[in-house]
Amino acid sequence: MKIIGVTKCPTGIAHTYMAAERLEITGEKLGYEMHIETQGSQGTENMLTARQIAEADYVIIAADVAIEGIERFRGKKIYRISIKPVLKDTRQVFLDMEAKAEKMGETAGDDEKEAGETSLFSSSGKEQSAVLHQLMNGASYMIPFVVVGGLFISLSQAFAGESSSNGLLINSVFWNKMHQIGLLAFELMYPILAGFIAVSISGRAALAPAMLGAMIATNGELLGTGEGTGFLGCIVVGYLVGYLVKGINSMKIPKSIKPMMPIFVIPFLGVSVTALVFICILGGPIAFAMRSLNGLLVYLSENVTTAIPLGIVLGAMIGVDMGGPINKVAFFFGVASIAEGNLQIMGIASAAIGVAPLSMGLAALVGGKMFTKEERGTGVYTIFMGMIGISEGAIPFALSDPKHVLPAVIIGSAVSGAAAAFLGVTSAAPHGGPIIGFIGATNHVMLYFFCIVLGVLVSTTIVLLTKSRQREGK
Amino acid sequence: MSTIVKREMIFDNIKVESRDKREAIRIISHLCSRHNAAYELRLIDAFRKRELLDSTGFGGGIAMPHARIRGLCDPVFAVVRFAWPVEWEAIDGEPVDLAVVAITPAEPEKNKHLPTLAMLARKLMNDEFVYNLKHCTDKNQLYDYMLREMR
Repeated sequence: MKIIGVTKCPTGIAHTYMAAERLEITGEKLGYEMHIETQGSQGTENMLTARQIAEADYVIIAADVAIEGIERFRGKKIYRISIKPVLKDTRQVFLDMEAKAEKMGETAGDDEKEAGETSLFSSSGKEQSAVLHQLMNGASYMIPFVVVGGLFISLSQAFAGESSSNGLLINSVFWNKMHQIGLLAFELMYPILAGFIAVSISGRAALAPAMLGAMIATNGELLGTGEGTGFLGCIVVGYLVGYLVKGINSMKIPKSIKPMMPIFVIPFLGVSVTALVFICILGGPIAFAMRSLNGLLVYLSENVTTAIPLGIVLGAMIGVDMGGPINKVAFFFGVASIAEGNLQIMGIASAAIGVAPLSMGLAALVGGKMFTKEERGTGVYTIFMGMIGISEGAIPFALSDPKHVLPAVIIGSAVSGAAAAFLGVTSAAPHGGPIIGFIGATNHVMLYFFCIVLGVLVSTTIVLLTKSRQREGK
Repeated sequence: MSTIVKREMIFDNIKVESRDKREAIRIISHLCSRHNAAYELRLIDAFRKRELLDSTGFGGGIAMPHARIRGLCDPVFAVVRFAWPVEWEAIDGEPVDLAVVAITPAEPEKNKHLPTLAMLARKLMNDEFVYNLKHCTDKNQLYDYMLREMR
């Protein structure tokens, strides 16, 4: 019989390896073929191969903290224990294994969530989640620029905007300057996005070519397409330059010219290649794709019958993993739309973001014994997290009772999103929660609050109802 | 790679009068701190924090207390053998008569020594290694044996 396993302890210095050694020695004594992966503070060692996983009869996970890559073992019979029983009596672990192992995918709760979530993005393993991570790295550097730009522009328009036949005009000198500063921030965010995607792929040397490349890609005149390629183009530039520089770096280069690489060769080559590729090949198609995507989003959000499904989907995405990768995709959608001048997508996202923590905090305060003492203690704090738009505040609740909390949160967030889409709420700040309303980034504060309150009420009611039903069932 | 086993960090016949873990940790910290009182307090604190997570007495009369210290330059590794067994709340309930101590820098970039510690942790699961270690008769034998095994 073949058995594989993963060991991981909180510090990752000693017990991870002790448990691995014990499992290997004892398992082999008992006549099993053993492969144990250790996830310690020096990183993962003896990483299990896809083949070992496929051939294994049982998976032993000996860990006191969540392990990495749990989704690899879907469909396998898994025996989960903490480190201690392994060190105490390893033989007993193997005796218990057959009876206590559970097939993954059948167990309800956080396992399923964990697996379902990651599988969306990493169906082919690590590579794809790395791609998403790189995108998020770029986005996280970009967001402050969008915040400043969005706030400056929306404030100047709110206080001094005068509509005329030529569109919105800002005549006051002060507000006009502020408006221009906001526009500067918006211009800068493209190079920042592309630059830091590239940096997360291949380090500092990629920064200059990616930033310049992004400025080329967003400059319609240079491209000859009339319109820039927007954030889509910047993402492409980021990855293009990132992997190009990675490729250059992995080439064998004579030692004498090595010092020249990062300061001369890489920037020169990087910018030249990106410029060529964009002006000659990619510029047109990406500009077209960008135009179409924008057109689609604007069309969807303007039309009531399509705006509501859009709001539901985006809202549900925001609620489903509370700050996780799916949430970030919806969020990024909103941020990118701000950059393109469509504030409604972000309005949907902003309204939905606060729902999860606000409703969980509220439910914990009024729900009495349905929540643990600790949860009730964190109620006020969780509401505060919701007020400032930190969805992650609801995660402890979701982890302790995913079956009841997740549906409530997802439905509540979707309701908020749909309401915001229906009412045409916009948000100029790439953030969420009521705080956005207070700082004046929305087009209509009361409508915005109404959307949030609606979602929170729905979510709170659902979680209280399902939890109380569960208690009666007991 | 140069070994992290140092002769001056092997201690034998250490007397823990109260036979309890608190005092043992205090004494180990004292031995490892080289008379730096402030560092000694930090060590005590770090060892206790680790023991609070879970006892490092992994059974068979051996414990592996470890501490992570911010700002430490090089890892410190020590062997402390007690004159009589100490109650360590070990997972098998047996008292401990030998402590293998590891003090490591908390900063991840100073992690180059971790493979050595992982190797040591694995060795401590090996009955023969433990038997030989326990049957060293004095400080010099402890040192020679560790040096031989840890290169």
